[in-house]
Parts: sequence; structure tokens; C-alpha cells
Amino acid sequence: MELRSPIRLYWDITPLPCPLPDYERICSELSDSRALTLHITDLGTGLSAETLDVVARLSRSPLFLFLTASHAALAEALPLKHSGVKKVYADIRAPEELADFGSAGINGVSFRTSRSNFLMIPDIIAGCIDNGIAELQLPMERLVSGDDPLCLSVGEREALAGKIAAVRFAGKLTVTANDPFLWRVVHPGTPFPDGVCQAGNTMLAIAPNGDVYPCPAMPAILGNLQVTAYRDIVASRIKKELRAGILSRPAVCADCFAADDCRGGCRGRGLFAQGTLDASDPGCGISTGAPSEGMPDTLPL
Amino acid sequence: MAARIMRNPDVLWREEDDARDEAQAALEQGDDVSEVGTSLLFANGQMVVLNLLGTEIWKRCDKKSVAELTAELLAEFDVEEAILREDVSGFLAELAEKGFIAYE
Repeated sequence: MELRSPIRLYWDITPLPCPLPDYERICSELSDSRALTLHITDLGTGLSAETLDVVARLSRSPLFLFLTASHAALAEALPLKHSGVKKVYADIRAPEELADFGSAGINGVSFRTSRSNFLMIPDIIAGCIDNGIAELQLPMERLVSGDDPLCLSVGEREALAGKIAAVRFAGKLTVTANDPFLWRVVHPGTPFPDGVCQAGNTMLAIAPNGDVYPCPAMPAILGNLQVTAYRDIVASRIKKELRAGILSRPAVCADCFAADDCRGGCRGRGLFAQGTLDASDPGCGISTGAPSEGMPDTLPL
Repeated sequence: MAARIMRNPDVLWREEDDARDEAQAALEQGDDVSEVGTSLLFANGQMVVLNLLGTEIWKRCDKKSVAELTAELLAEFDVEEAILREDVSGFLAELAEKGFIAYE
């Protein structure tokens, strides 16, 4: 379903830019946006005054506020659950950190997955269960701010899926994976909930300097909230054209046996890698368009 | 006493006004609008799109019994009672399975 305006917004407040954007005006526009959720991320060692200001301004808005903060900033973040923030997540970098959170009052943890740490996921899942943590977020890559795209081979995904399955987390832990291929690794057999890429449709991402992107993983600036009103960015021709491009499957995927399932994968990653929306997702792991030995009984992860 | 349908308070939802108006206009002309989304539910990263009837059922999941809910819809929609009961029952079962509603 193509929406007139997004329902979920992601706003990375840090690293703080210079000059700072007009938080008062942006908060006012977001409050009136009809979006349902706003995910605020501040990964500084302490919560910035700007994050505290944004939370205070939006505490009475209709937005359901999520806050992801660094481990070191949790003492400042958790009290915000009494003043408007509905859920607080701790950003973690290693399984060892999970032991600190047993009774901390967090709603869950967020683990930014990359090529260098993806093998930690099974231990992170096990650690969450051992420490009574209810939710694990594997958030969208920040390709708009310099992350390297997560591209795993089919073999790596299968090996990872086997290790995750061995942890048996169902019913004990909710794991949200925003990457379509990582979703299949974590939840094999369950269709990716978003279906086709939702960049610019159900979601928008706001960078620290006010730049607006279709998704944190899609490096295509739709506008900047310092110079353009939020509603104008949402209704802009550039956004409509981008959605039309996303709804057209990449030509290279046209004959792929897996295309009806993956539906083009992460289109931001394709754009990041090749500079065009018509590029295939380099995280797909299938480059030839068909398996080498006939049709498989099940799709590769 | 009949069980009451309760929405999960963690489920966020929004009705799409334009889509609803278009669906209603098409329905009045006799078109099939069962595949036209008019609202969406969102929880735990999972989004569910509802059609016109689904939206009207969802709006009524506020401590009503299934019988009360169905009676209200019968008064509003030109549909056979048996078909409506089946649709409502199937739809509520789906919502319950996803954890979007519960009975008390």
C-alpha cells in the first residue's frame, strides 16, 4: 500500500552538526505529520542537550517515541520513560555488555550489525535470553552516514541461520531485523513483513543536519528540514519518482527465481553500491539470476 | 457473558482518509474493494493493511462482543449475515493470532 505520508520516522540526533538545525520547528512539523512512531537515536556517551530538548518538545505529541542510547547514557535515558519516551533501547557492541542490563529497565537492546560483527548475533540472542531482555533490534544500516553495506554470501547466511536456530529463541525474545536478508536468517520461513522496500513510503529518516532520506540505508536526499517544510518533502516530486523507481524491480532481477520472494531486497544498498535504483542488492548473494543446479525446493536464505 | 474484544494497546494504527473515501465511492458504484487498503496497523515492526470492512471491524474492537460487533456492521453494510459472520470470524482470528487483539 502506497501511503500519502510515512508512519515511521527515524531521527539520528548525533553526531551533532554545526550549525544545529531548528529543533523547535522540526519537532512542530513532526508532531503534525500523522506519523505513528519516531525512533530517536543518540549514541553519545551522555545524552545530548539536543536529544533532551527534542524529547521534551515531543513528549505530548501523538508520536510513539523510541529512544536508542549508548550503554553509558542509559542512566539519563531511562528516566525519560516517565516523560514521553515509550521504549528505551541500549546500543550494544558485544554480548558481554548484556550482563549489565538484567534489571536495568530497558525495553530491549539494539545491535548494529556489520561485516565485522555479524557472527556475534547468536551469542547476542542467547545473552538476551539469559539476561531477561525481551527485545533485540537489528537496526537498519546507516549507509547515509558511512556504514559499510552488510553483504553476506548465501553460505554465510545459511551458517548463521543454523547457529541462530540452535539458540531456540522463539517465545523468549522478539528479534526485529530490518534487513530483508537478515530477516530470513533470523526468521526462516516467515515472509519479510515489509514486503517490497518501504523506503520513502512507510518510512523516512532524518540525519543530524536535517537532511531527509527515504530510509537510513538509502543515500538519496529528499530535502533538508532547515530549508523545506516536512509536508513539502513528503509531497515532493522527487519522493514520488523515487517510489516509482522502487516499485519497479531492478532489470537485472527480472528473471531471477527468487525475485518474487525478495522483491528486489534492500534497494538502498543497490543504490549505494552502483548509484542507481535499477541496481540489484549486493547483499542478495545471488548474482546469476538462477541457481546453478536447477530450482531448489526452498529459497536460499 | 460473551467475551469482549480488546485491542492490544501497543498496536498503533492510522486510517488513510483518501483511500477510505475512494473505496467508499467505488463500493457505492458496486465495485469490489476488498483488495483496497484503507488503514494500517503497526506493531513490533509489523504492518498490517486493512480494507474497508477490516477497518470498520478494527474500529469496533473496543470491548464489544463478536455478536454486538457483527450486528453493528450488518446495520451499515449491505451483506448477507452468514457471509459477514464468516468474514468477521476469520478476520478476528487473524488479528488474535498476530497478537493485535485479545478477548477478556
